[in-house]
Amino acid sequence: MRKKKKSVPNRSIETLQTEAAKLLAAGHYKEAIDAYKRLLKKEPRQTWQSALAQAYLSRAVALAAKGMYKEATVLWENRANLCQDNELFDKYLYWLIQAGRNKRAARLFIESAALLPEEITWQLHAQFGALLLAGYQEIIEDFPEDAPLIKQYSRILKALHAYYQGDDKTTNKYVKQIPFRSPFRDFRVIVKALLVIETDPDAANQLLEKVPLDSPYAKFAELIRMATQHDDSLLESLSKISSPEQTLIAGFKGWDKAQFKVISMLQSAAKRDTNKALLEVVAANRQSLGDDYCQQFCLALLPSYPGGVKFYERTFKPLSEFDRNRITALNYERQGHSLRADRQWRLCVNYFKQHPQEENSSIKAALILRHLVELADQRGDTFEDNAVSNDLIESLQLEPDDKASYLNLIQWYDHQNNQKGYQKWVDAAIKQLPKDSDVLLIAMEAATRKKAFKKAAGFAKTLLKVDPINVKARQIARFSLLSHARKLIKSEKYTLARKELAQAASLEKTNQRSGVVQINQGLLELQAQGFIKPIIKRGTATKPASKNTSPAARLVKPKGKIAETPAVKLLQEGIQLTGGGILGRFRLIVESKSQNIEPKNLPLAQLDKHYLPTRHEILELISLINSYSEEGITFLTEAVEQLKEQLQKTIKLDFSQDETLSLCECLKKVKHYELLKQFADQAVKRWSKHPAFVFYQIYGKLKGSKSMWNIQPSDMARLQSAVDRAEEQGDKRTSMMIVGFLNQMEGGGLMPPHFGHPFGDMFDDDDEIEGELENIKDELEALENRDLDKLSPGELIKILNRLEDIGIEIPDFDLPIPRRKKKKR
Amino acid sequence: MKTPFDILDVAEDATDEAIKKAYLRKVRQYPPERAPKKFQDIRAAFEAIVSRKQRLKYQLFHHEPPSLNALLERALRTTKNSCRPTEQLFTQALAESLKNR
Repeated sequence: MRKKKKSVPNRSIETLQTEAAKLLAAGHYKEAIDAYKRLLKKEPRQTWQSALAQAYLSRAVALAAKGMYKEATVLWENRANLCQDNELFDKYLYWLIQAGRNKRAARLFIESAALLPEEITWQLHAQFGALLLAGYQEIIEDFPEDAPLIKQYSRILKALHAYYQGDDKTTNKYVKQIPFRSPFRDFRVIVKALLVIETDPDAANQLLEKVPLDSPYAKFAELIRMATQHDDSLLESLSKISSPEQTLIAGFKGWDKAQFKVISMLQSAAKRDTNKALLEVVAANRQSLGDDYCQQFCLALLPSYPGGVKFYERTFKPLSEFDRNRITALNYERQGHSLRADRQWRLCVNYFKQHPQEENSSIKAALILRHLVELADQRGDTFEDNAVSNDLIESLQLEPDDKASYLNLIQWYDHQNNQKGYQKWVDAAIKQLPKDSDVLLIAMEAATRKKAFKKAAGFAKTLLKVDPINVKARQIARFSLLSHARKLIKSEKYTLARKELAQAASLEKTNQRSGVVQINQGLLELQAQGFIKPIIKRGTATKPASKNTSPAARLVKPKGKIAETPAVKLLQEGIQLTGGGILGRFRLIVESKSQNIEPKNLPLAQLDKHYLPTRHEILELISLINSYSEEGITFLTEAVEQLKEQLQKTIKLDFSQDETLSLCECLKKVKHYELLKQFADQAVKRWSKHPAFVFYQIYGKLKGSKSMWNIQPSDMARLQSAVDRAEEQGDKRTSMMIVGFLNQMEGGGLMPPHFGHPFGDMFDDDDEIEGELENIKDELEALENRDLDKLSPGELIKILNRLEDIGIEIPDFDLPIPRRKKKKR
Repeated sequence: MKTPFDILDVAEDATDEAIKKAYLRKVRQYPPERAPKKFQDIRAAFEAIVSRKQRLKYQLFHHEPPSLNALLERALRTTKNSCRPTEQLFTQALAESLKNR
């Protein structure tokens, strides 16, 4: 069946006109041209003719912008048949040149040059000049013989001929004859650059940069600049230019044909962008690139392209078992298969064990074992099993002087809380690397941990010889010397203690003295001169001289005489250096207690009753307490207790929220619950919804874990909502802190029966908890009715253990347990 | 990616001393104040192969594929002097550059 022809609807002229206008306005020039042509067939209206001319011109411009110059010129000429105004005539001439219709362009230019603006005429002259130089000689006859373009063309041609011949002097001579306002102005710059490109590429580059982007020579200048490029970016640039252009650059670069062939092959391999293509190209060019280099290059390519192993072996040489396993291991690593890589690397280690005669076999095996540790670390498996420590130990057996392995191993044992292993590897490290600052630092820490202060001080001295400005070494050294001095004082070896303290003093810079040394020196002298004696602890061999004496330190000489001694002056100096006031007093308290001396009995004036510490002093005090806490001082609660009065006065000082948080955290750390609660009460008044302060307030009220079973349902509800709020605010630290506390309650079986646990689903058996609580209640009631004096030590220990089990803190005492009166709790 | 050997322009079996010399030469060529990025690359390359142990580590565990540019650089190394183009080549190249500007 024959198809029916599409019928064109018989629309009115008005409709067609409206449609045509819309198409033109919308930039649909092709359709607009058709529409106006149809209208003009019906009726030759002038407005439609003008509209058609406009559509022709607009379409010509659009096509030229797409590089379709030939089509653009035809459209311009169609328009010229409709109107004679020569609109965009200069553009038309450019399009003719770009379309290769140079002859017509030149003729039209000569005919109408007088009508064109001067600037356009000049630009077109430059354009025709470039055409002449590019070999389009057919246009020359259209220009008069005396035209400046022709005159200057002959000069520039002479310059170029001289350049080809290597006659730079003549080239320069003719170049100088080209005036600045010449159509060859930009080309003159290029010739100047060509003259220096071999000797001074940078200077050539600078000259070429002067060629404007709208110059007919802009692309040519850019091409020549390529010859000054470094090879990194050259391959990409070369791939974008034509063969004659590539040859021109090759000439400037001094490349021969063989090299040029390699470039082409590399270009094609780069286009294929596969390791296979690259492997083949490199192997094919072994001779020109160098056999060894190609072999190394291809071997390096194999981990990312293990499929090329056979090709490599055919082309170069068979791979060893080790290399095959190494390539597979690296390939697994590239794919993120760490465990598979691990297995493959272990095969490599075995290979070296079986082939110890191979060059560097031990060190290579050691390096692989350490690499396995890195892989385990990336997987987060470092502390999962013993493989890491075993690998490190084995690596050190193969290559014993690797510091990083010792440090890793020490850290590993420390993390596992294996003190024996930790100490063993600290000793091994210091034996192997006795003057290494990192190892010495660790050895110092390890010795301090064991309270082997003399040893720690020895390491510190060595470290300070190696690294005199090591701040941490100074701190540890000073701490070790002080600790050792305290030990010596306790055993009444005052002369030795003086030496240690003098050394500790020498480690402090004059303007940064902390006062700790002077206080210890003062305490030493007071004891050495018999002014004061330390408390004798229960359970120690020596007993107090008199039963009637207070267990606090006793002044054995009258106060009046002591106050003027150098010892007291040292104490006063130490207090002042610490910062005086509450700071100095706190340091004095801690340092005295460290030597079992009761600070209240020292011959020093107490703090003024009206003294109010400043906000700054309290913040300094927090850092001082924290630093003592880090040193492992265990009696900070008592030390803070002695300053309770002064601290209570500061509760209403204007601390910021962060400062108050630090303060509460510090008081929690030292377990001073009374002050903690008081500061937290004040903080809750100011920041009632802050979850951390709510926690500190309740924590203080409950005396930490001591009275946690006394928690009120309302407080538990507050803790619950504090956790929620902390989580909402993204305050993970606080939420963890509160949850940790609640878990502690749960773990101690102390969740009160009246309280529904906030994490109800975490409990497996509520009946079991209630049962346990009932048992505890019964036991406590039974305890109330017992006469403790009549208990045997065995029974007493049993009861105390039970009390500890349920979370009640029992003060330390020495066995055998003395009989004492009923203890009220 | 260029290898540290490529960056310092030394052979894979170069000694510690040769590597140090090459490093110092490169640093003179690209001082940090004038070419900070290049200097960083040179420094990193030096650190990667500064000692025998480091070189062994690099050779054992490095798995980034080698760079095509490094290969090209090597391919295009020449001892020949550059030569001036002939009139024909020059004219052709200029004509090419005038096309489709």
